[in-house]
Amino acid sequence: MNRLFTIVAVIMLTLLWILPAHGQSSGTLSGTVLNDARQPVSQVTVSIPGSEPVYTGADGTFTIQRVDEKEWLFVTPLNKYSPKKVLIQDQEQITIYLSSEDIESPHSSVLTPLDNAIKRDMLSTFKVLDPTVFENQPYTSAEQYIQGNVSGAFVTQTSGMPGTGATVYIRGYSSLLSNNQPLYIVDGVPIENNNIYDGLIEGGNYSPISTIDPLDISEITVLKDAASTALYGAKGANGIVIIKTLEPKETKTTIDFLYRTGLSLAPDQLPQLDANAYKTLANELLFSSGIAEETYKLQYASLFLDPDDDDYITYNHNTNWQDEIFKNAIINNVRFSIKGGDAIAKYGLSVGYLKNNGIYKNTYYDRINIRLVGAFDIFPWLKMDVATNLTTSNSYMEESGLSAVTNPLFASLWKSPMLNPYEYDENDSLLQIIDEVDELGTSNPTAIVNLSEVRSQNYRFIPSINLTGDITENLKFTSRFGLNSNNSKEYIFIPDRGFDLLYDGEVFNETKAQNNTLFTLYNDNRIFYTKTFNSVHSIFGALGFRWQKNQFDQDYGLARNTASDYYTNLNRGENLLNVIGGNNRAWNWGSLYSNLSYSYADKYLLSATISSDISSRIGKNAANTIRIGEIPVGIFYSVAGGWRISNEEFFPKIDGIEEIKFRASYGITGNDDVGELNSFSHYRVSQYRDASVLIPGSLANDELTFQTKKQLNIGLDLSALANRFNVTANYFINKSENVVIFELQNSYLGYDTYPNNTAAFTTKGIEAEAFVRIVSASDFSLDVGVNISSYKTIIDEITQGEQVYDVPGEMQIINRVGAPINSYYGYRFLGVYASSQQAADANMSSFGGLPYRAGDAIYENRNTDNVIDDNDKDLLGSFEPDFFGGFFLNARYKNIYLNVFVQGVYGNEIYSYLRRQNESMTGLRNQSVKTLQRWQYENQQTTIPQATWGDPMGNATFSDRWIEDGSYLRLKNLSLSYNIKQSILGLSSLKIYVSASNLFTLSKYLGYDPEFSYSQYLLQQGVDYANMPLSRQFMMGLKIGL
Amino acid sequence: MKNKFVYILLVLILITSCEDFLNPEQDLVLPESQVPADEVELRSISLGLYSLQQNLVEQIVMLGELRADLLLVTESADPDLVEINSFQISASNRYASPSNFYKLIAASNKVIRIIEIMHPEVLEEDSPVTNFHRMYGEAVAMRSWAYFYAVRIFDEIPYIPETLNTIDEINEYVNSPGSYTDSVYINFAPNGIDTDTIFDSTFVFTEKKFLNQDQMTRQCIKDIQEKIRFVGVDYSNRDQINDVTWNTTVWNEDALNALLVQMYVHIDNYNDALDILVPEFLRRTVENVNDNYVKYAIDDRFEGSKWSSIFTSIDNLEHIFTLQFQKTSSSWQLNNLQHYFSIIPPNIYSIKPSPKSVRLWESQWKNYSINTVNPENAFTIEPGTPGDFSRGYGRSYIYVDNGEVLSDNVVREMLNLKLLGFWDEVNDIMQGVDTVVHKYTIGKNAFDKDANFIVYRAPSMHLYAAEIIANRQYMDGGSFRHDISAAEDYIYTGDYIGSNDGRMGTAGRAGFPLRLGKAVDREYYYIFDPNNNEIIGSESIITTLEKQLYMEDIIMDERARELAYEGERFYDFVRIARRREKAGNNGVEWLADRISESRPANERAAIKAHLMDQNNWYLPFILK
Repeated sequence: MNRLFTIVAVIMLTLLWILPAHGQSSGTLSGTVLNDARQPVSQVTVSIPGSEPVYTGADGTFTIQRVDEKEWLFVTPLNKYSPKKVLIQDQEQITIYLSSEDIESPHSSVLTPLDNAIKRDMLSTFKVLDPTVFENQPYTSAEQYIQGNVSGAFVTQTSGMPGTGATVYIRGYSSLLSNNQPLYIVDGVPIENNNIYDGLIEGGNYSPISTIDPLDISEITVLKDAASTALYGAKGANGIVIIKTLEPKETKTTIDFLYRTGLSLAPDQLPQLDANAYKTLANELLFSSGIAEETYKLQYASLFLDPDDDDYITYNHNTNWQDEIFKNAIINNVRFSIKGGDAIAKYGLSVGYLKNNGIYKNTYYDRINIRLVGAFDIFPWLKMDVATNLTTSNSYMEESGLSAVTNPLFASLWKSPMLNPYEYDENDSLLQIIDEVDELGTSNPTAIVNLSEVRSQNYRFIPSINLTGDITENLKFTSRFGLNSNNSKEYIFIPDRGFDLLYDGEVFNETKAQNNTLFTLYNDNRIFYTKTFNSVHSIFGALGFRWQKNQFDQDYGLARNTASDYYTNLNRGENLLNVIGGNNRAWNWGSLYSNLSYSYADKYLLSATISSDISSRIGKNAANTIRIGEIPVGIFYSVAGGWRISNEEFFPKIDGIEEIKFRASYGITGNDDVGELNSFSHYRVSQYRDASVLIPGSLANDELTFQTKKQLNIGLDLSALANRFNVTANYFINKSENVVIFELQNSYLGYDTYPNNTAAFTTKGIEAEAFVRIVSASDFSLDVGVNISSYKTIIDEITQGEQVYDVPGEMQIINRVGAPINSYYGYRFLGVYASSQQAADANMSSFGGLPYRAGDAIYENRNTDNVIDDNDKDLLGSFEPDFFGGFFLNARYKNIYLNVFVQGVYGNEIYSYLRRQNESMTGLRNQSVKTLQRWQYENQQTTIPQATWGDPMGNATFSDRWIEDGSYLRLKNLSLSYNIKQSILGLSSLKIYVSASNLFTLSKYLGYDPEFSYSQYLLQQGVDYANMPLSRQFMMGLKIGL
Repeated sequence: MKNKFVYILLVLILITSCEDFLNPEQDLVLPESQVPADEVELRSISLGLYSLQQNLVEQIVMLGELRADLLLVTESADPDLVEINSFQISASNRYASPSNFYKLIAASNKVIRIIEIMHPEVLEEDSPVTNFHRMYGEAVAMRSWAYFYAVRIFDEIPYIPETLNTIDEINEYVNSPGSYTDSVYINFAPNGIDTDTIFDSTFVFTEKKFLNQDQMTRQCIKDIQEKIRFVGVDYSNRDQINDVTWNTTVWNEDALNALLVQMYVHIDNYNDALDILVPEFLRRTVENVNDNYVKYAIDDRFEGSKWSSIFTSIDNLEHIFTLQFQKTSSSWQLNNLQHYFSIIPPNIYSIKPSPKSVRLWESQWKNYSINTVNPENAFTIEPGTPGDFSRGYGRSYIYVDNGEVLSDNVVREMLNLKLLGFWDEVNDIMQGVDTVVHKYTIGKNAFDKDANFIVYRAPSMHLYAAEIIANRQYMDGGSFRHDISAAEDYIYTGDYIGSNDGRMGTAGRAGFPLRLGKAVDREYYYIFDPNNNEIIGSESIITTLEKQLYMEDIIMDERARELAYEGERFYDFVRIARRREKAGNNGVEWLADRISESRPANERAAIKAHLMDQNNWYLPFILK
């Protein structure tokens, strides 16, 4: 480390001293200012510090007196174009192209961890997103917008359940088992991921920033490589998303009002067996069960009713249960904001209300959001910014995933179509009383969506204060205090009526409640120094330290068997079955950080960052740290360099080339999420008789240390034709090391596992983004943009060469050295034994020791021992796509705007737990129509095995039969808007729009939708646990400025 | 400028007040570094051992019973249970790992270390006795129990007497060179005199600290003798709740003695076992002969259906040490014993009694006509009450037809028909009928899953006494004598205590009479029809060895009846087979025959062949 800094310092000092000094110049500079259509622009102010400013004439030309040999020329157009700053050296003539205001200007500032920087001088790989898009597209959480818009960021919408956000992986991962989500920084306050502890609601998933109203966002920047993220040291390994809200920039009072409404459509349904086909399947299954015919005919009498039986009418239906749970849903969103103030004090206030109904009946998400920000000049030398966000949200949802009793999707697929949602009376009159569950099992889907209560309430309060002061002309300080208080309450009531029994039949109704509180205090203080020498030497230095204290508390209670479904309170359960519990975690983090940046002559850019971090999560003897006193300190750093070759004198003068810049950065960032209890020996609570007792916790590792990510990035930025053509391309290698896994211990040592930093993997990838303004006319413009990314993550090291994980959904994941990360691990399905002879000839037996028969699955016998067991398992693919990206087309004609946005992934594999459940044919659940192709007679050629009660041969076991290609291409958004930015009808602005989201999707996937993310756990990516599918949405909106 | 510094100073003050920043308090755990010497905290840690012991119960029962002759798996059994029943146990079997034993051992080691450091007085011979001494004793006892029970399963296991608290300590242990040297090997002789103490410096094991059954048993006995002065804190008045059952659910002096007896018998050290048995469990009953509530007497307090109360509650008179499970709103301590045995949903009826197991109860009848001159002419003159009916039908097992429990009368009728040889009628009644273990279901709601696990209770000790008496020689008038006949008293009559005292022996109190006089006093024994209990022949037993072996069989049958499904059966076989093998009496084949005979005909040959290799009696899943 010392050597590295010595080298950087020497280079910088050398550059300062050896580069030629500048002599006085008394010449003039003539030039022409053109717009992006090569038309001259008049009335543009052109100035050089120390010289009289001049204005361009009608032909766009100017002549200005020079002061120095090398100096900056400031070009400030009146409107429609972005200002620009150009270093002039020895030229006497110059042509300056102005880019339109509605094109991203490389000369504007970008929000970074060190507040703001000039985009074109960034050495980091980043993406600035346009927050006005939030008005047109129904994103309820800001990170959803990253999908398809940021190269290198693999984003998956969690589900169609409103308010649940998205899972975001920026250029891979830094851990196998802990947090891989980027660090979100809202108004300077890092937001800890409150999804780190399991919620009560199956499939419930909460984005860390779901409580931030996207409409409040003024700026949003995604930072992808170590050049920027190293500044956040142990928190930076997963990339950073910086958000600034409601920034009150101007003193002019602006009042905006937005209303939008829309419709979410129920999805296309999966084709299921009708009642007759179901009965045939059920008969086959019962016949295969070995249960005596008279016994099963007695036990499942409803399958064998005659028209004159009393219950015949109850079972004489052909119900499409999916109709019972889905509906088209309304979205409503209203927002009011006001900004204003004067030179001393500026303010911004917004109030928003969103109600987003889900496509399951009786589900919705609503959010009330109040945000107040202010900027005050307390003294001439001291400014204060404050931001306060208060959000309350309610989510009425349904459970998803493995909860077979309460997942409406599974229930609607499995429920026998013979039945009806409602009861009949003794006169065979249909009542409006939801029917109970009969002997065929499966909860009544109508009961799930009408009678159960699954809700989550969230309260979040994020205030922050930032003081900025001038110590001297070049030396400033900032000090930020922030607080993040998040309280979420989850409540579930599963009634008796219409639901399968729970807990093996012991429980007929259940109330569950959980209260989670995350409280974070944050403070960040820094001083920074800026100085430009001789026009060409620019130095920026920052030194700061920050700390963050986090406290998480969780309490829960379960009450079961209340007196009736009317008693839904926790205190109404049967005493013996009550359960109460809780959890608690505290973790702290602090860092001392510094950045030093230098640029020379607008050609050479250098930057070095270091962050020395402490964390309560790592061990007291943490490996790979330095020790200060007794405290282990992790060192994270980056060095970055840029070469704007287009500014070199030897570079050919090509008209229209704005910039060609090469960038390279290398650095190490960290992930301190190694658990709060893994680094010290402790006792935990258990129970013996009625005594609360203490038993040893897991084996501690006091050398447990930060998970690290070494990142190398090589990039190229190319810009031409007044930025009408932009290309950015990057190649990166991210090597994640010290990744925590839990190593199995010898059984006789008294511990199951040992947490250790003994895994490593490498993500290599390329990403490219391009933007072209094809047409640029005053009334018409046409832009297209595309980004594409490809990366693969390969395991480099892991204890014993491979680790296999059992993952919910009766599946396994393997991480094996040399193989893709989190590969599915199971059997290879080769077909079905068509005949007894074929089965006999194969002479294979199952893992249970039974010989395969005709109609059973054929699995690949990889080790040729004729027994299908663990030794025959193979890698079956991974959730990681081969490539992914997005494409947009924006067209404007006068005030009419058309936006088309397409997004897709290619080459990822999906494990469809849903389809497995829907085609396994092992019990009396209804199944997919695909099961009509099941093996039923000797010599039948098919790929669907026979129906067998309980599946003794493992025909439906985890295999590549359930792995599907997850590629898709989706028209994510199509919007048409009429946007007038000047006064009209007494309004200062007016915008009317219509938009459609998820309009169509090209995919071979056999489930509802190929996009889902059950949780943020890496191990569960790519598994279709039957979440609420994404829906097509249609919106219309009106925004007026007063 | 002054103002600026005031503000900067203010900021600095705000940011420097971060106490314990790197060690925030985690409310739900107690850092080991903060374990106080306080007795209350130490009690919590000490009681934590029982919580860990609870995790072993299923493993002990499944491995101890499913590998023996009293249980068979049903079609509902999961693969792990099938594997155990067929002796094809894979490494992934949930009962195959010694991990839970070693978690208990490691936790015991921690308690031992903490007390040794914080209260070194426990190591002083004459220090006044405190609860720290007792907790220390509990931890040593628990560790010894865990080692002993584990070594019976795995045959050769590491002995780790110290806390391996960190990965460094573990690595140091694992990687340290050397091997365990046992320089003194004791081969106990039945007479207690010819015990062979061998000083053998060549007795070296290739793997450091891996002890076999004999070595581990002796090491544990040594630990107990050297380290334990007292055992068992009096928890009966814990938290001002007067609950005397507490002391029977933790290690107490009697439980420690029971463990010692068990270990002594395992290594055939009869004299030391008797030294404990007589004053602790047997003589105690003699001295309190008129006291109806004396502990551990095998008398009419638990006769007939009263016997079942020991499975529904903690009893201070019969139970020596019972690990209590309880499903209450405050403590969900559950196990799956009821779940696997019971036929009532949601239980899954994975395991059922073997026909042999049921026959052992049903084949004992009250009265026989005995022809001592010509035993073949003996016959049954009055069918009596089969054993389980004396205890109340449905206590040990029940018959179930299509989910319905067969009534007492139907079963009696069936047995009578069987006795009369009306097999068609018997088969009609028994068509589709299953047998179900009921021991862990007595008094339980179908969902309870909190059956207690009896570690030690009195009959086990009495039957150990019988086993010792049957095998032990003693010096009388200058020559060695046996008292095999007295062993039978422990089972049937209680005569070893004294005549006419109301005590009935383990079988006697359950309604089983002495079988046609003491078998070992005669020179033959009867052979009964296993189906209808008719005497169908006899076989001579003349030599002392024959009588000893026959007596062992009787004891094994009685252990099968009395202690059925309680987790000891396979180890009973192993203990006796080892003893027989050591004495040249074909113990291996005896074990292989007895166990394989209980299995379905198509499995017998394979099971026998498997068990003829002594290595297959033990699980190989401990890494060396």
